[in-house]
Amino acid sequence: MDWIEVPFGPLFPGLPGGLRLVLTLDGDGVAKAQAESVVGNSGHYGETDADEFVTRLSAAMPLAPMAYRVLVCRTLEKAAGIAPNGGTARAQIGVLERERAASHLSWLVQLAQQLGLSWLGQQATVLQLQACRADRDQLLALRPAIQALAGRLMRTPLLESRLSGIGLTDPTAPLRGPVARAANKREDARLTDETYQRIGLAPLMIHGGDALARLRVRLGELEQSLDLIEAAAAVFGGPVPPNVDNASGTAESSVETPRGRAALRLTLEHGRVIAATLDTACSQHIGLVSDLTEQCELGDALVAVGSLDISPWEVVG
Amino acid sequence: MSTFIVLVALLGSAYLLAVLEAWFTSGRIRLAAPLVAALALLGRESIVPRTPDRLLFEVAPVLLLVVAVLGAAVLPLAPDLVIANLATGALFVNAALAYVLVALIMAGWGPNGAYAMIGGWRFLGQLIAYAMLIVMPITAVAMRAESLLTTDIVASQASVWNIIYQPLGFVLFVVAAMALAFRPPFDLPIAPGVLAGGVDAEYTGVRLAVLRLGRMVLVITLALATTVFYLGGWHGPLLPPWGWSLLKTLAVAGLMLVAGHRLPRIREADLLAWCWKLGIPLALANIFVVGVLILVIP
Repeated sequence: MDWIEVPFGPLFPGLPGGLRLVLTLDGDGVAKAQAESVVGNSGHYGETDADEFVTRLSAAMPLAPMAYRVLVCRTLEKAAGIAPNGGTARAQIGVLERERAASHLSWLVQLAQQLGLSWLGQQATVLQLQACRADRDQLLALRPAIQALAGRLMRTPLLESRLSGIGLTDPTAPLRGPVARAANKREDARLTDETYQRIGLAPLMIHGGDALARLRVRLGELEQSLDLIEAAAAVFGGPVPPNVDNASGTAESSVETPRGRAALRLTLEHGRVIAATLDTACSQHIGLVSDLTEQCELGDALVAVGSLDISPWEVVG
Repeated sequence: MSTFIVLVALLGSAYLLAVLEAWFTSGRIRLAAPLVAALALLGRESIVPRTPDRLLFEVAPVLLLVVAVLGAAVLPLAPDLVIANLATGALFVNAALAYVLVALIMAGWGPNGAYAMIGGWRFLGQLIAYAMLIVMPITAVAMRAESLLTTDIVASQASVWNIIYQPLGFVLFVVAAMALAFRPPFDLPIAPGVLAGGVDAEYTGVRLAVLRLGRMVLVITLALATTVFYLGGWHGPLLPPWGWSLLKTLAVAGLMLVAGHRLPRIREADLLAWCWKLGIPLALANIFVVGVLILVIP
């Protein structure tokens, strides 16, 4: 059979919108794979006003706006030499963990499409929408429903055999976030955050490194996010851009987004951002696509790509 | 007259199955949902892809529908309610349904699109998996009836239905029937999240409506075949014979629907491996056990 080059995306039912895969197919097998984001950016940002930079960067990452807003605000505070506020930090944990829970639920919807599990798609969609809009108490009230969903999913017959061994990652590859933790790597930017340490964060790590392990990590983190929100015991509050006045300085900080560690290096001069460089987990993970998909069956290849949970907006460089 | 009644029963059952499916996906019972969906499809522009193989593209949806109806033609709803009571009826069902593959390969090749073509070839692989598991359980059923006449097969179950007499054959046949009807979890040729519709992907408007109707009728035909071969056909108290046949047929179609939505889509390699390494030995064992039972309990 002749090889054919088939585009999947940028708008394809089982893949995140904005991600374009070009697979060279030998029958139903993938001979070659290329992945690119059609909505990513360079990751280098020119001179702009500090407040505007906060708004612009968080708006550029629609799948995790709050995590990037926290990242920019923290970096600006550091660059301007402003001491972080402990009370605000706890409130920020709430919004970060809510975003993580909603993001993992959204990933479950995509998994449901790839596996043809319509019940999972329906339930995860409802829960995701509820989680996005929930305040602290409403979110904690979703715990039984989330537990029931996770329990039912893991009891689904044939699921383990369907996912196990697919998208096996090389532990030496530059993995981050849930993908790294599913390969038993202790990779979590929250470990360097004092507030998270105080409320007793222990990253969830699993041996395996395949799509099944990534599913388990994300299901575990869904519940862990609720635990962290409960432990933080603060009402939700997003970060407010700091008043940097006329400050100057250079700083770097990182935040654990739902997809892994994102780091921002920023130079502030007289209250204006003159240069900034962003490094994200998705920029690393998109490079894994060809290794994870080549010589796989088409369905397995798409599940492998999906299990990386690449946000095309967060692909920089 | 029989032809008319059987066709109406097939269409009515396919409609009810579509209502059931809509209920399953939306959570609401809407009796008019399939009619509204069909009217919406008929009202839409029927787009023809660039450089199609026009003959294959146009014929495929009609062929699928015709094949599904042909399969039902030899299956009785009641002792005297069968379109054609052929002496080789049980064999004819299998022969007619073999053309489902032809229809899907045509639907895959005709539009000249990658997703559709992959879907069509995937079904060829699927046929290699399920084909023997359709034929071998039918063999055991015919052994007990000592006839290939479908009415004789139902008559042979007057005392004990085949689902009791040969449960293994029933399970194998239902699984193979789901694969033949490309119902979830065996919907590899259409796989919405993987092939964006596969063989359905390039069809719109009236052609898509015919393709979907063909698929629904195919499910009903296979459920009716299961009823005839394993569930005692028209046998049952109180209701008229055709009532029992339709009730059992809808129950089997509903079972296929429920089972399919609870399982993840099977990998093609796994399907082939399970069918050949597990299914065929079990089907052979079923034939052997039925043979022994026929000798011991005539």
